[in-house]
Amino acid sequence: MAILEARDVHIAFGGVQALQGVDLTLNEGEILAVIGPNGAGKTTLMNCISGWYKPDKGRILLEGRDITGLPADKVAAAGIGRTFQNTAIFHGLTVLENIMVGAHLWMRSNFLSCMLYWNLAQKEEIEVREFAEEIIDFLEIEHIRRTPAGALPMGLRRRVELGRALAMRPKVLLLDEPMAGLNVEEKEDMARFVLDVNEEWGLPVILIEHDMGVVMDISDRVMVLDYGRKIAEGTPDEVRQNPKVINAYLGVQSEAV
Amino acid sequence: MRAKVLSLVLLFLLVAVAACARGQAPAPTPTQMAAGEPAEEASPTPKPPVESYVIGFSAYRTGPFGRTGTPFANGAVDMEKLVNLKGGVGGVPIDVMDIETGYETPRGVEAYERAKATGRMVAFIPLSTGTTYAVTPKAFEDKVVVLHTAYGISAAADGETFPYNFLAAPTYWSGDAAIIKWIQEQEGGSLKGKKIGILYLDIDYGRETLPLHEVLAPKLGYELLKYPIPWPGLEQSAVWTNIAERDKPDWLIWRLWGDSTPTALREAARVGYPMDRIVGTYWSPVAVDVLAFNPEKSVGVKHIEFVTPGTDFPVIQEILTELYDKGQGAGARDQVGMELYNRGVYNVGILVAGMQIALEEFGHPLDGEKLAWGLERVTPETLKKYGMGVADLAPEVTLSDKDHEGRGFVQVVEWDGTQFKPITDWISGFREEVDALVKQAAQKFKEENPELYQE
Amino acid sequence: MIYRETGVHHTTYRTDMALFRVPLARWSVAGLLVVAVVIPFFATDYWFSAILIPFLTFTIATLGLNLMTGYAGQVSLGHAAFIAVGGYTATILLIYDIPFLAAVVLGGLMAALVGLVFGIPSARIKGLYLAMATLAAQFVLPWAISRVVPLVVPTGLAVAGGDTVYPPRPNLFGLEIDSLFERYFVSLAILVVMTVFAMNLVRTRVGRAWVAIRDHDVAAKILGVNITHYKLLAFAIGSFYAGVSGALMVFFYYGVAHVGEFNLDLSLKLLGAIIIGGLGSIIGSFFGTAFIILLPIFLNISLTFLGNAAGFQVSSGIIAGIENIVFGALVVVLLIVEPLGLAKFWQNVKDYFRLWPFSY
Ligand SMILES: Nc1ncnc2c1ncn2[C@@H]1O[C@H](COP(=O)(O)OP(=O)(O)OP(=O)(O)O)[C@@H](O)[C@H]1O
Ligand SMILES: [Mg+2]
Repeated sequence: MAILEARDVHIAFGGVQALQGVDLTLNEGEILAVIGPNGAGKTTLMNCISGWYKPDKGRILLEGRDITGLPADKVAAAGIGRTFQNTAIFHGLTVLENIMVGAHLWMRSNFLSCMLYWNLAQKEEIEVREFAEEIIDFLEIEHIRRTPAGALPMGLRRRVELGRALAMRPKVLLLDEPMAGLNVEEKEDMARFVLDVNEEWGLPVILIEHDMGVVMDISDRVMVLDYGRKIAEGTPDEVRQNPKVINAYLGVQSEAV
Repeated sequence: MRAKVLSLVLLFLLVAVAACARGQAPAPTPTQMAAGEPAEEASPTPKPPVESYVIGFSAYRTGPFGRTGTPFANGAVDMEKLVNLKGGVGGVPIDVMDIETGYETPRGVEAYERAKATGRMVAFIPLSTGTTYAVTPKAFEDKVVVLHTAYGISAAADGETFPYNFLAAPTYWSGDAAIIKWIQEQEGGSLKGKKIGILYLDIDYGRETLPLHEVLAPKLGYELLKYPIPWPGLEQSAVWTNIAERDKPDWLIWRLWGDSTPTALREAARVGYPMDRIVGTYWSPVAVDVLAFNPEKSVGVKHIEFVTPGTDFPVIQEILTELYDKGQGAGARDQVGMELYNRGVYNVGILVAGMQIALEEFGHPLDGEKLAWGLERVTPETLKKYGMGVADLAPEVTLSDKDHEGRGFVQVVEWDGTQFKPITDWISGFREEVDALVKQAAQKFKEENPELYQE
Repeated sequence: MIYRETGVHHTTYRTDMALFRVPLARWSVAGLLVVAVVIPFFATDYWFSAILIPFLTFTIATLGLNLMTGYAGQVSLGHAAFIAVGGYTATILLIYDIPFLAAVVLGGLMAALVGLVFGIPSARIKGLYLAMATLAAQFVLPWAISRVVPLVVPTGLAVAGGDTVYPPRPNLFGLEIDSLFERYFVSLAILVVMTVFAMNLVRTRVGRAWVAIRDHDVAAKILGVNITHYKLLAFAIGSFYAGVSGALMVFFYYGVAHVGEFNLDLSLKLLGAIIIGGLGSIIGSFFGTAFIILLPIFLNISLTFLGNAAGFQVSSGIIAGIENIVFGALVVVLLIVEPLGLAKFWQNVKDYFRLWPFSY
């Protein structure tokens, strides 16, 4: 059953047709990889889904509900969590606080109760803290929980960003190249976390990734974008054999793999 | 590196705190300074009964108003030295504590408190509107004279309402009234149909005389034109276009201050408004403003004075020979005799006169209350006798317990290319209207501050 | 003074999330409070009027600006104008017999409202452009005050123009707050409460949202933070602090509401205070205020002292010159050595002692 659908999404920037009628379906519980050469429109698609861009045409549906054109914070509230290709952690906050910001949208305490650290605020802060600690344990970053995030190396930043997105308790998780800039070991860790998130938390994931090894290993389905169009979709094996894909993208890469 | 810097900073702070803990820095007493000078012979008692009488002074030689603050401060300090050379007040030296405040009220308040902490402060010179406002209620409590000559709180002309505030100079209301009177004379006795513009900073100081003009204009038949300029007054071109092209007022009264004045001079020259039709209040344009703009192009511009500018007075000559000739002047010699300089001299001089008068009555030690009593007995005669020469600068001042203004006489002075020179005798005008404003304002102040009048 | 973390283990999140996690931090804060309470018994008039009371009242304003600019990243050049709004509102309310505490709080709320209005451009612009927009407050508000106040104050015109107002003597539950001693304690109590509020704000949901917006507004929005809401909240709360501080300045420090005191210069000074003290630091607000407001006075006094000790009477102009040079040099040195401000200095000292005596 589809939890997230994008139908016939178009968007252009000036003369650049970044997306031209892209359809996407994410089923419950699955990991969908989106691949394609640089500039294919992967990130743009993610921005359209998460409400940062408003598509020129087309619809985005979450659990059948139309979320097209909602502002990004409302899309987040609807249940879409994401990470960024270029990492976007909050430098001035500690790891713990970064993750707790993730919980912002489902917290209820207002500024007055925060100011007084009153009943609700205190209870909620402790509850969120406990939840954040679970995520921290899960991501194995206990040792840096009080480190300012700005001081972390890339590998840990990506983990913190994942933790932050998880803290949103999203219905769908969008990961934009979560392994870019990581070494082999870190990539393996990250792949494990993505699988665990998917399996243990039952969270459907859209994963943009260039590393074909990883994509083939962990995704249930793969969709391929090129010049703003979907050129193929299917299981990893099907996609790997698709001549269009080989032509557009894999040809060079698969030799390298 | 960091540790070193840190410990240096800490050390410095320690020294600073230690110094502050004493409340004030122990100044070398002016008698020590004057040792070996004629002071020794002049004072009958070798050891003064009081260490010194402190006059707190919020000076500003730096900051946005440093240009105007400097001559005034130098005049006050030079006069202090001259007074002490002549034996001080009954053998006790005066100590003008000039504390730099940069025209900032918090620093002014601090200066007041620092001077007060000596335990010997008899008077305070705020030299800023804001500082006058802030220290006035304190002065009621501390019984210290606050001397604000031709600025500060005009209602303080009412000595019964303000026992410790002294203008000893005309209020803004008296000033503008005298200007109108003088203009009336220039116009052959009638202002009917004349246009008089007020170019003012749109702050309390600038707006202060508007109520007076609202009363006088219908009475005398002149048309009142208002030209407010937003603080700090560095942007005036629009206003000047209106003045030159739309309204063409016959006269312009200025109520500006600081850098807004040279700007206005520049604009006046630009639009070709006649300089000799500009009459400023006490604070603009003063000599330093004209010099900052252009002395030749400013010929004819006028303002009113409560202290005659110039050096042709014995007291100023003495300062030049006793201090400047010996390299002990506080500032530049060519500023001596400027109106602001002479006002600094007058400020200290009139306080000394008040102290001397009080000394005759009470003897040492003096305090603020006794000084106030003495000041209330300043007349042209007593000032001549006790004022160490400042009577020549302001010969018409008569104070009393009711009148802390001194009758409100001013002189019109005109820039002749090198200096401001008086072109009138001491004049005043429309006293009834002015007195009514003072009375009304004093009454309201009393209503606003009942706690000051409880005892 | 020893700030140790070693050996302290929290068994519940509740204690781990307390305002001061480490017992020694708790102790040093308690010690500081004791000092604050004991000082006035030894303080002279000078210390009250020139040092302590201005420090307490200005610090509240600095705290507010730090919440707004340091935490939420919304630069404001209009802080002094918001202080003025609070000061005047409270004064007028006091004239109309509103009780002191209510007048202070309402003064703060009025400033918050006005700050909110001037914060609206923050929804669209940021950084320098926003700073320019808030500068408008610095021009519009004093002008508005000088027009409105004479109309509502019955004693208007008492002092020049009618926009300078002496407030009635405030009283707290029937007791007149009159002496310096009382003024000090009331200001201290309000500062302590405001500080605790600020600390609570920044360690909870609101504070995290503010820093998130400051550090990465795109990410904050994608995480569901309503950016506009929190920016406006920052303006409102920061201005509330300004307003409360304005009320206290007028009542306890200046003793008079004079719009000229709340000028651009003050706004810039407060901005300087949070930069020197440390952007996004509560304790930095205290350090910064001391640096900007008190250090020049300390410098002036010590220079006068040194000059006199050396045996000559130095002109105040020369002292002022040296004072400005030393002050400027200290600012530059400080920002070079520690761009993150005095708060970071303090953090370094604490870090040094954290593992003491086993520092490596
Ligand atoms: N905000 C924007 N303004 C203008 N052009 C944009 C914008 N965002 C994306 N584009 C353009 O849209 C196209 C798709 O970009 P996008 O970032 O989605 O590619 P991508 O598939 O994520 O590539 P990469 O693998 O390099 O991350 C590019 O040509 C890009 O320049
Ligand atoms: Mg991309």
